[in-house]
Order: sequence, then structure tokens, then C-alpha cells
Amino acid sequence: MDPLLEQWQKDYKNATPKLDTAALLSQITSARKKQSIKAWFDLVAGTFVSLFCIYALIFEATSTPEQVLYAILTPLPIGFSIWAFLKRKKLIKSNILDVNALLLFKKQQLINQINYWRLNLIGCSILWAALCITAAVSVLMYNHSTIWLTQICIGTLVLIATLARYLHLKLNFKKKLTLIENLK
Amino acid sequence: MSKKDHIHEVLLQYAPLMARIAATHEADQALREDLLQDISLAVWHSVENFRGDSSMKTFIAKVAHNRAVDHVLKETRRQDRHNLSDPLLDLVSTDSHQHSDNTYDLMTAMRRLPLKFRQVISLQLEGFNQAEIAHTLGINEANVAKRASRARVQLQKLMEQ
Repeated sequence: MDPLLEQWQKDYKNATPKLDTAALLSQITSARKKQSIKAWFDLVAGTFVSLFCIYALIFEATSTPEQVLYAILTPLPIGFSIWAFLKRKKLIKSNILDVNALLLFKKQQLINQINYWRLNLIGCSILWAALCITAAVSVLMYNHSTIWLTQICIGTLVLIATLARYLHLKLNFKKKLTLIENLK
Repeated sequence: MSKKDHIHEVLLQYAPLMARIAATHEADQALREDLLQDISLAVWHSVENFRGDSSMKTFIAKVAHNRAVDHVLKETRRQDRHNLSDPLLDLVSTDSHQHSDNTYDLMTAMRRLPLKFRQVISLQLEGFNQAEIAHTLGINEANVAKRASRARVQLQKLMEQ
């Protein structure tokens, strides 16, 4: 090794920040415990809500539409919990990727994120349109205006939030992509 | 030795290496400590996936650089959101005082290097060979050599400023 590099190496080693390894170890032990508790809580909460939906489907639902609603709702919480669990696993696995592979992973994540929100927006728009049609029929035929108005208001807020999130991501997409490319 | 004890031992042994990698990527002390924690946590999670296809030191460096790049991405976006000028430069060089000390000059200059050069030179200064650096960064050895020589020239220029 040439003398300059050797000198730099010495300086670099001397620049090691002061470390309180005991404190570091205790901090990460606690952080890991918190992460683990959160992961288990997510899973248990999802399972509990799904079980409650099954209970409601069997013992509480009094009409076919209610039964259909509970049947549709049942897999959602547990499904979400499993998805979150798998996502967490995937993120942990991504820690061992080399830098180049990590940047490719980040790029793909960015593309998936924008596709996810685009699909979300389309889905929300369809549901919102269906809600409006159902509300119109219900109001015109049965004069049940208050409940439908509330639902349309909530649906509109969800749609606006989804649209805002999608537009925000779309606006920043190129910038974020360029940043990833620049780090390669 | 239990699994937990083994991981603790690994973390203690490589804490200085992880701290230096964190310091190469972040000048702000609070953020650097956060980054070091993030790296340590990632190492803890990842040690179970260590298959021995490289040395433990190379494996730890790979995880640490992985987290450091993620940190740079996040911080650049954060600084960008707050409309700070030249976010990459601000991010990597928030030291306000100029020291005459060699060590300080080296670290300041290293933080001013583009990330791809900084990674190569920091791994070189850690004592990794070209094959190990290539494994950590996911590039070929010829590319490592090219980056190392450019990094050296740029670092020298920065230190002479």
C-alpha cells in the first residue's frame, strides 16, 4: 500500500466516533423488542377482528346483505396482518442486499408504490361511482337521503385523499427516480 | 453460547466499523447515532441469514452500507422537502468548523465525495480488498478499481482545498 493511502487509513481509523457500546446494545435490544411486540400485536389484532367478523356473520347478521358484508369483511383484517408480516420479512431480507441490488430494489419499490396508488384510485373511483348510483336510486325510490348523504361524504373524502396521495407521488416520482439513479 | 450472546458479541466486535461507516455518511451527531442504531438493528436481523459466503466483516460492511444508502436517500428527500439548497452536499457535510487536524480533514473531504466514490474509498480504508468491495457494492472488480482511482484523485483535491 502506498504511503498516502496508509496515512489516510490511519486517520480514518482514528476518526472512529466515541462509542458507548453498552448503551447501544441496550437501545437496540429495546428497539428490537418493540418491533417484535408491534409485529405480534398486528397479527393478533388482525386475527381478533377477523374472528369477530365470523362471530357477527354467524350470530349477529339478520339479513342476507349483512351476511354478505361480514363474509367480505372477514378475510380483510387477517389478510392485511399477513401482508404486513410478509412485507416486514421482505424488508429485513433487503438489508443483506449489496448496494447496487438495494438501489434496484428501491427503484422497483417506487414503481410498485405508484402502481399501487393508481389501482387504489381506480378502485376508489369505481366504488364511489357505485355508491353514488345506489344512493341516487335509494333516495329517489325510498327517500332515505340522510344515511346516503353521510356515506357519499365519507366516500368523497376517501377519494380526495387517495387522489391527493397519487398526485403527490406522481409529481415526485421523477425526482425520486433520478435520486436513486444518481446514487448508482 | 446462546444465539443472543453470539449476536451481542458480533455487534460489540464490529461496532467501531459500523460507527465509522455511519460517520462517513452522516455528519450530524444525532442523525449519525440514529443511523448507527439502524445499522446495528439491521445487523441483528441479518446475522441469521449469514451463510458464510464471505467473511463476517464483509457481511457486516455490506449491511452497514446498505442501511447507509437508505439513510442518504431518506435524508436527501427530507432535506429536499424542506427546500434546502444542494441537499446532498448539506447532508454529507454539516460540519461548520474547519479543523486543521488531518482526521477531521479526511472525514470532511470524504463526506463531500459522491456516494459511489465515498463507498469505495471508505471500504478501502477499512482494509477490504477489491473482491470484497465488489461483493459489498454489487459491482465488478474493474469498476471498483476505476472508482477507487477516481475517488483518490477527488479526495486528494478536496483535501488540498
